[in-house]
Order: sequence, then C-alpha cells, then structure tokens
Amino acid sequence: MISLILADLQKLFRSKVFYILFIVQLPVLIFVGNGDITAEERMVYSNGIINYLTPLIAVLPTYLGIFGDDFRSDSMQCAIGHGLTRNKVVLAKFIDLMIVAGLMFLLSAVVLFAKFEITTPYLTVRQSFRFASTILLAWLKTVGYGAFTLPAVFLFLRVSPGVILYNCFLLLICSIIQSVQEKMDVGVYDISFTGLIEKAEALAAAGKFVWPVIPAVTVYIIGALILSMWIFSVKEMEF
Amino acid sequence: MSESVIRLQGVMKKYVSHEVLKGVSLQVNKGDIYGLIGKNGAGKTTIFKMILGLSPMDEGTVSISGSTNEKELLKNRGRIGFFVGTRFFDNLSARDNLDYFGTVKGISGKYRKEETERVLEIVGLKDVRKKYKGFSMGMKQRLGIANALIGNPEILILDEPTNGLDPQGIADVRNMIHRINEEFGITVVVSSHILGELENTATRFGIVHEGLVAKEITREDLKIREDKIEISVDDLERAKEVLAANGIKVLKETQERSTLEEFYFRVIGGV
Repeated sequence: MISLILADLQKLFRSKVFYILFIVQLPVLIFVGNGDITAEERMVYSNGIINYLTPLIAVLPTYLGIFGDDFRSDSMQCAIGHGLTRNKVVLAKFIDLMIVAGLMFLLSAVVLFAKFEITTPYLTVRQSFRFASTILLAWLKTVGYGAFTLPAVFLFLRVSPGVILYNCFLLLICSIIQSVQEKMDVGVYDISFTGLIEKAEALAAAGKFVWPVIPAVTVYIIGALILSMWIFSVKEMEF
Repeated sequence: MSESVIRLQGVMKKYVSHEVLKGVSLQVNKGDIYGLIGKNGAGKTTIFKMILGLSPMDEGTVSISGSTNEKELLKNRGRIGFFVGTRFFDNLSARDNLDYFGTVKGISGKYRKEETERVLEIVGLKDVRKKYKGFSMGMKQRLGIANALIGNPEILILDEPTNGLDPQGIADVRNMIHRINEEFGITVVVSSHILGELENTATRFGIVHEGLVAKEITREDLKIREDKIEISVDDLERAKEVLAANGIKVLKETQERSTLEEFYFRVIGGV
C-alpha cells in the first residue's frame, strides 16, 4: 500500500497540476484581506479563503492528477493484479487525498501567515491560534467531503461524479440539511458532519478544545471508506 | 509429473444474465508457453481476470504456485507480471512510466532503475526518450511487455500481445516471448485469436469455447495428422490398388503436422 501511495505522490509532483492549482489561488491568498481593515476583518476574509477557495482547489490535484490518471491507465489493475487488496487500494487513495490536500493547505497557510507577519493589520497571538485551528478544521472538512465522494468515484470509476459531488458538499450541503431539518422538524444539523465541523469551529473560536468533536467526525469518514471498499470489492476491473 | 504454477478448477463467472465462464479448468505448468486460444468473447480475458483477482468469481478455485489460500494467493500474485493492454500515462516517457509501475509493485529505488534499464533493453526501447503519447502501436505493445517483465516475475500473462501489430511487430513479439521463456525461464501464458500466430509460439494450448476450456493439448499432439499421409511411390497410377495387396515399395513417406487452426475447429466443431 505504501508503494502505491509513494508512486502516486511521485507521479503527481512530477506533473504540473499541483503547482498550477496552487499558483491559481496565490493572488487571492496574497492580495485579499489587506489594506485599511481591522485584524478581525482580516480574519473574516482569510477564513473565507481557507474555508471555500482552498478546499475547492485542494482536492483537484487528487482527482485530476491521481484518480484521472488511474482511470486512463491500468495502474489500479496493476496494483491489484500484483497482489494488493482492493481495500488497500481504496485506503491508499484516501491517504493520497489527505496528504495532497494537507500539502495544499500547508502551503496556503505558509503564504497567509507570512502575509500576516509582513503586512498590516497584524494578528494577535490568540487570533493566529484561532486561524491555525480554522485551517486544521478546513482540511478535516475537505478530507471528509473527499471521503464522501469516494463511493461515487469507485462506483463509476470516473472523476467527474467525484468532483460534482464534492462541490455539492462544499457549497450546498448546509442549505440542504437545514431545509430538510425545517421541513421534517428534526434536529439533524448538529449531528451531521458539517454541523460537527461547525461546532468545532465555534469551540476553536471561543478558545476551547475541539478534540471532543473529532471521534464523531472520524466515524463519518470511516463509514464513507467502508462503503467505498464494499462498492469497489464487487466492481469489475476492465482492461 | 510437471509442476503446475497456475491451476483453475470449475471456475464460473456470470455477468448479469450472461454466463461467460461455465466451469473452466486448466493447468499451466512451470516452463510452459501456454497458448489460450478462442474467438473473441470466448472468455480468454475473463480467465485472466480471475487469475489476477480483477474480477470476483462466482464459483471454483484458482491456484497460483500451488496455493488457493486467499492470503497466499495475494502474495503469489506478486510473482506474476502481466500485459493486459497499453494504457499508460501519456505525459510520461517509457522510463518514467516503468518507474511508476515499478514503484507500485514495491521495487525499491536503485534496483528499480536497474530493472527499468534491463526490461527496456529486452523490448528494444532503451534508446527511446519521447513521451508515451508519441509512441507507435508497436512501441506501446513493447512497453506493455516491459511493464509485465519489471520485477523479474516467474509467470508472465500476455493478453493478445500482438493485437494491432504488423507482421514484423508480430515476429518481434514472438521472438521476445521465446527469449523470455528460454533465457529467463519465465512461464508464459499468452492469449490470441490468431491461431497461426500462437501455433508458432506456444508449447501447450488451451482451447476456450463457449465458456469452457474444451481441450488442452501439447505441441506434440499436433504432430501426427490422423487423416492424411503423403506417399511417394514408383508407380503412382497403380498405387492405391497395389498398396493394399502387394506391398509396393514406399520410397518416401512424409507425415504432416496438422495446423492449430484445423485442430481448433475440430474441437469446437466449426468450419
């Protein structure tokens, strides 16, 4: 499994897709949230970038540079035919997603924190800590939504259902859950993955410990992985 | 008794309502060049999928290097190199593609580089630097075989490796298969629907027809043609009469080998 992850990452970083996507968001990272504003306003802008723009970009290298190539080549067939279990293939791809998205968030964080150090308004230590928590939770949200798309990716062995579903999760899921909640009069939002992440964000903003939320969030991700593994276990591999 | 490296027993596979394999049994022995022959859709590729674990089977057992245990099967599949198509990464060179697939197979750094050069030499792509998207069909097939060879497998599975090749390309692949088998001692399982091609390549044959291996034969079985001999006699006109009765001296008798194609159609009952 480690061999597959290493091969995927080596191939991805040899191609241009990761770097191009990082460069695409670079002007926003550098130029948005500067000027004659307060530190709190700067936080709001930066939170917006890290909660919407970076997650949008962070999964694309995995979909385009790893899954896309996998489906165009026989690399998954090679791994399975060489004795790797299908479960390990799913797990390897999820770990790819975690690492690649993590690197994208890390690079974005480096740029933003460098900007906070160099340009005004400067952030306080407490604000910086809060922002670091926001980045970690945004990465976790990205990884979670990415995991939720894996069943569709492995069902169709195509990238497009994954990208579409991911964007639906990122942009529409809040409204969907809230409207379901209103219509059915049941409190599902607080126990949903998105609701739990928001709860963790609120805890972090209040300077509290976010870890109590983590086990519940992990259960969601594991559930999505188990579903992906089951779907992939009965999938015919064509060549 | 020959040591079997691949054995299938009663393997069945159904796609929705279509029964592709109806209880396939076959045995590939160590050192064989085993030719799997059959028309398109006979089930050759599905048999390979079963061996490689790329498709779940409905019934039956697959044994690789004597093991049917799921854990050991996974391990033993690591001894198989396979060519099932020519789908590689367009923007990578032959070397970079092999480097990726070598890494997937768990071959470590320095050895992977050595292996890459070794297999590129075998398939004649050592001096090719361009990216895969610029490859001809023949070069793609060669890269597919190189990929199957990387890591020095004990068994090589080649699914229609001469598809789309010109006569020179076909001859090159045939020579490559012989070299791989003789020089490196690799057992080869190769499929084709071009019977004449496999006749010159394989030492044993499995005839796949309507979801079954209808017959397994060796190259030796093709030697004696049952229904025809060629006789040169000193009196051709009277040969038939005299042969039976008075023992006209036979000056030359040639026993022809039947073609694989004839044998194939005899087994499946076609033209």
